[in-house]
Amino acid sequence: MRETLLRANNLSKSYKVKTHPLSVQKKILWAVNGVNLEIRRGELLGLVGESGCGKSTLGRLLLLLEQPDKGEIWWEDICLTTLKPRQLKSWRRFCQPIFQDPFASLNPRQTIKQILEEPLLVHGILKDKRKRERKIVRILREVGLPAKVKDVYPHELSGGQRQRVAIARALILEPMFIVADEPTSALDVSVQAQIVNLLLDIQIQKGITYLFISHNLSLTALIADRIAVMYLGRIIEIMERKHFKSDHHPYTHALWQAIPAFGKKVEATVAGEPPNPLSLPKGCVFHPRCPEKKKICTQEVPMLKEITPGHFVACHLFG
Amino acid sequence: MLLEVKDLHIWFRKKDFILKAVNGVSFAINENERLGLVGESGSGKSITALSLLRLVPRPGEYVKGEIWFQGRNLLSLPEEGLCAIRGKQIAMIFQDPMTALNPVFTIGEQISEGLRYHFGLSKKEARQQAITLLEAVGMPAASSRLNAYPHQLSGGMRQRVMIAMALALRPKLLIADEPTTALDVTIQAQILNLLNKLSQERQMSILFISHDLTVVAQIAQKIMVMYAGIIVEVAPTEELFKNPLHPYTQGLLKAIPSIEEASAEKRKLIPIPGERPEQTDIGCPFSSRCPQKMSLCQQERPPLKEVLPHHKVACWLYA
Repeated sequence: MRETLLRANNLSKSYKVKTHPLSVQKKILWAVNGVNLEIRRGELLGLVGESGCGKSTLGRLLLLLEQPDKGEIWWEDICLTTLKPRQLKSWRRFCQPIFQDPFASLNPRQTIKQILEEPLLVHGILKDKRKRERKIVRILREVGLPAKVKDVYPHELSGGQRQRVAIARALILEPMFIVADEPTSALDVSVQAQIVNLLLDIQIQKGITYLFISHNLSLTALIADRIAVMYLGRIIEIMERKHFKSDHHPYTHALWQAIPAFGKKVEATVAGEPPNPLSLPKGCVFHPRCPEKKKICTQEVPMLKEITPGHFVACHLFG
Repeated sequence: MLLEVKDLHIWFRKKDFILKAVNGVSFAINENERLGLVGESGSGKSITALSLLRLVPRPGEYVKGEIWFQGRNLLSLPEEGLCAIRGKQIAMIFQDPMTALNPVFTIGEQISEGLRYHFGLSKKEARQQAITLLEAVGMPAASSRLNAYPHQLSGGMRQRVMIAMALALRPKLLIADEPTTALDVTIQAQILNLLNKLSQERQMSILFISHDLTVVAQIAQKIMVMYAGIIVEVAPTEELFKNPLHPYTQGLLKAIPSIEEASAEKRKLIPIPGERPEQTDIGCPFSSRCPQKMSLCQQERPPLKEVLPHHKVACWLYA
């Protein structure tokens, strides 16, 4: 088994939200609720869940782009959550994000060269201008873009090319860990395949560890070494490739069943919709929609348990 | 035949060029038929859909073509004549129900509006009808939801309201433009099943538009594939998946990560090289990305021809 690179212990993050646009009353929304997660060196860990389940917040927490309310994040044997901002800065170059929308994540007033140069300047790497320029051209080639792209602005590029620039920006600091948050959701399927393959090539060449956040289970299942499934702020299942065909948490099962494919009729195995995250149900958060709920599900929150080595499920039906 | 589109051309005149969003499209929808229209972003599929109700926004122009519905050409009909068709004969639901619903009216008022306008129902009768409709689309606690505003509902619920509104006047044809794209997969499965059920119960034809072939396959009996403003292939759903002829359709099918393969070895995707080209008037629009292109492909546009029973393709490989 690969060693652990990053570990989240009982990580929680809440936001205060107004219950109504005009009200002064605020409620607490737990976007991430007591998450324990290990990310192993060199793996591609898929994080899957529906909108609002907290998967992006978890990704941002792991990059320390948000401060957690509770819990710790360990990078090897360093506890990141206790570091001071200045100490964190030198760590940040090893961890980079790639965002969903390459139209929003690139500054429209900077040329591609300026976009790619900025991380180097911020971290004081490659002080020599010509060296920086050579590095930029090299990184552009690595992501499959011609060198002349460095002088254009983002609006001159297509969606796929922009996402390549976003990847180049993440790679230019030679990171060890990349959080890719829905990196292909804004792209067409034919271009999505190009970008996913690029990410996989980079993983093999450079041994980068990925957290691949996606709502698309079929895409994630194809490329991930392990998958974690989130529902309403909690991780409800973690599985390795060999467990993809085993028994799953009822929610994961519903996700598999709901994926449309040719020759297979989609089944809506769960009725209803996720409950309001501001007033979560007691017990297992999935129980109002669960076709197999028992009495205990309405009372006790199920813990994430290892049911076979490497396969964790948070459900009272197991064990 | 319920609706027939003949050689439709829709142009957007820009400052220094003409964008031919729809560039010679012909197709027909029969009574009780569920037809799918698939294409990537910018392929012209939404403009085609909007044109059926003559709703193409400015500066779009109907340069050429005819749209025949119940013996009348919709493109030469005066505006008053269209009002009797819009909503009543042909209804439409959109991708994002939040922008399609009016935020300052309750959903009860919005569903009632069409009933009162077209059928002259009283307020009370229309409300009663609205409850029946909301129950038909599977809205829980329908009568108490009548006074809700769109922002109080979830995305799936809003899409159900949209469908209820569309069904209110018992249209012959429902145009559904990416109705599930904004929804999570478990909710998408519910909506797809609902649309299938309603279409059969009410003998309503559906034109279902999506960028996702596997989603379209859940609804449509026949699928049209659109690329850069033209239809490149039409075939019954099963035939299209088993025997795709156009290189674009073949590439699209390979690029989709399939859930059946998910448990096998981790693997890369199979992309279509390149991206959507600048539009060309000469030759096949796919020729710049086509792995099997010939010199003829860059010179002349291939016609859409029936090469197998019920299976049409616009490609010189089969001419």
